[in-house]
Amino acid sequence: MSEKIVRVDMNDLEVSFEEVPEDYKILGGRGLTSSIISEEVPPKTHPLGPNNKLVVAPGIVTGTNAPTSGRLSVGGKSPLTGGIKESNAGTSFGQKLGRLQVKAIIIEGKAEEDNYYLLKIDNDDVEIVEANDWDGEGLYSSFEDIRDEYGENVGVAGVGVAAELGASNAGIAFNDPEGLPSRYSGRGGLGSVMASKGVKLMVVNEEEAPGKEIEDQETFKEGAKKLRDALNEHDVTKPGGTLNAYGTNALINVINEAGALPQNNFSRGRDERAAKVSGERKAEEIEKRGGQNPHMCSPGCVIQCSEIWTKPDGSDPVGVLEYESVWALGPNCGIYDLDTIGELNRKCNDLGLDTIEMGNTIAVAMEGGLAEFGDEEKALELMEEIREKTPTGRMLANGVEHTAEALGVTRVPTVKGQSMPAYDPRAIKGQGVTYATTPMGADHTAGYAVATEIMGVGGESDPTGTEKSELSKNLQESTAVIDTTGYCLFTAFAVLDIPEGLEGMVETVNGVLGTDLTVEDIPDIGNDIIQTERKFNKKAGISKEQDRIPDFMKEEELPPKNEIFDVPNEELDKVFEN
Amino acid sequence: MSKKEKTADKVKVNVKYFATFRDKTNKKQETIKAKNIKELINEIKTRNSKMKGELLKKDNKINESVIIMINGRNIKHLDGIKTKLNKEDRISIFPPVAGG
Repeated sequence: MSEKIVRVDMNDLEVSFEEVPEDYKILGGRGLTSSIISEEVPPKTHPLGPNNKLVVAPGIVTGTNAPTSGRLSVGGKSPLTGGIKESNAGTSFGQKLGRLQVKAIIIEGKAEEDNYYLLKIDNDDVEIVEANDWDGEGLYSSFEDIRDEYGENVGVAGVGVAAELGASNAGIAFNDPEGLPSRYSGRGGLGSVMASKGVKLMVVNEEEAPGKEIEDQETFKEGAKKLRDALNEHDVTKPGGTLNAYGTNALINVINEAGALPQNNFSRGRDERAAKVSGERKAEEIEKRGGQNPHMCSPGCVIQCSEIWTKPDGSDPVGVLEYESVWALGPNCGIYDLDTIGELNRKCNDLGLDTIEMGNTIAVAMEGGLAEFGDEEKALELMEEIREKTPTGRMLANGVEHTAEALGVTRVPTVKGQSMPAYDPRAIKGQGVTYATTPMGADHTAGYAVATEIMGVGGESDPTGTEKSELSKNLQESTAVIDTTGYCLFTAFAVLDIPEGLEGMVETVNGVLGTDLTVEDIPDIGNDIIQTERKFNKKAGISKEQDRIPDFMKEEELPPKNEIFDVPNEELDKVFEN
Repeated sequence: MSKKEKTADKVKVNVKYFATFRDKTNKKQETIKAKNIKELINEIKTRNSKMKGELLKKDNKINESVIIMINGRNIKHLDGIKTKLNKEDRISIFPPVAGG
């Protein structure tokens, strides 16, 4: 057995299996999706046209028993940014692909109009099955149907109503351990790329899977132990640590206290009401309601930062309410009620929308006069406009910039068409440098400077300083590598501080691939991946002139610290040389 | 300096505890009088015995992983434990924390 690339031609509804080219053998995850997109997709092609492709790739170690390694990447040309996109998710779907020895699935072409299909991926067989029954259906019921039809243990991916609209904010939902559509490759509109091909669902069944090939078992095992030990030792990632006890939402109070939690469409950085939607508050409610916390997004995770949020009586689980989602759908819209946020998150999951972009869009719509900030009922109604495919719903589903243009809003918190996550760059400037310079558009995960600037992980850097190019560059390069390995980015909290953990991570990669990479190779490998992405973007018309934070953040002070984004353009341009 | 003068240097500040520190202190916040962060830490561990091992390492130096903010600024980016306190400063204390 050996790994293979599955190519799905939606023009002719044919599937072929290809050997993995030599250049791709040492890649996985983001490194592989970005290489394939860069090689095979014309940069100026329409993102929803037949010449764009959707690439799904588990990370290098995904599917092994290495700890916290259940990530897979999805790549394509983004309808939201117009550039290259990699969006990754933690889900057993990727682990199953890894164990089936699927290096990547490339979906290309475009099915005949009005027909949707399901890709059924088994050991050595991929079928394209008609799936029009799920047209217009919510993803919670669709995922349940799939489990009823194909079994409880299959991995499921799907796109919802937003993708049927070809909307720029449509994500791809993957199953969580309970089978709910709550794990998302959310950012960048790749759900619409999938739907544009005519693919509505993917089902992966790992029965009789040969398992992930590991070239050097001994090196792999030694590395996995070192990494596991580091994750169990580090204060942030260990069992009982804050991620484990409160989930990612532990950050609400931290970032609010730091004066960097955007409220009412990035109008101020702190509000006393934020405590009502904090991780601490949420953990109390989950315990009371009988939800679950801690919880794993995918099997084999040591950190276990996930959870199951439910209605007050413990019914109707939503899945996880991540920090970014709580912030976007909550404080950024002037909403400080966890149940309303939970229902808004449920609608995002059901309709197939990225929570960050959706929350920002509602906030911009509020600023544009469609509702008052804090109007919970209206926020819920606006999302139903998407389900009903009304003109307003179509506007909203296309994201922040589209909505801002339609409503005449000029305070638009985006970079390269993608809206900012839950850290105001005026108060955490290194994070702003990442927003500005990553090829992905405003993306916190691309180089998480918050770790260093607020949490003191991986060194120290004053968030009000303006010399941030080196910090952001280093983080972006190491992140590109982690996103290629299939490890969760949260492993970085441990391995940035514990050198043996980082060595272990590299050893597991060497074990799987039979390579002799070292820790010192990481920056160059990461830089190569980013340069591949930047070259694609340049050919698509996105150059370093777009590596900028919006003007209003350079002029309008953010209370309570009253800071502006004053990192000079020259500093931004130092991050990457071209 | 007399004891009275030393006390006079002290100011009243509001200390907010977060995440696991709420369990260790059994409270969300309290008012403490101190003139700088070093004194404040001493007072916190005197009042809350379970906080000693959290705030200080075995060598009695401050645990660098703990986040202490004064009005939203980490003391590491001010004068560390020597940072002076002003009346009604907002002190926020977090255990090692991350997310994203």
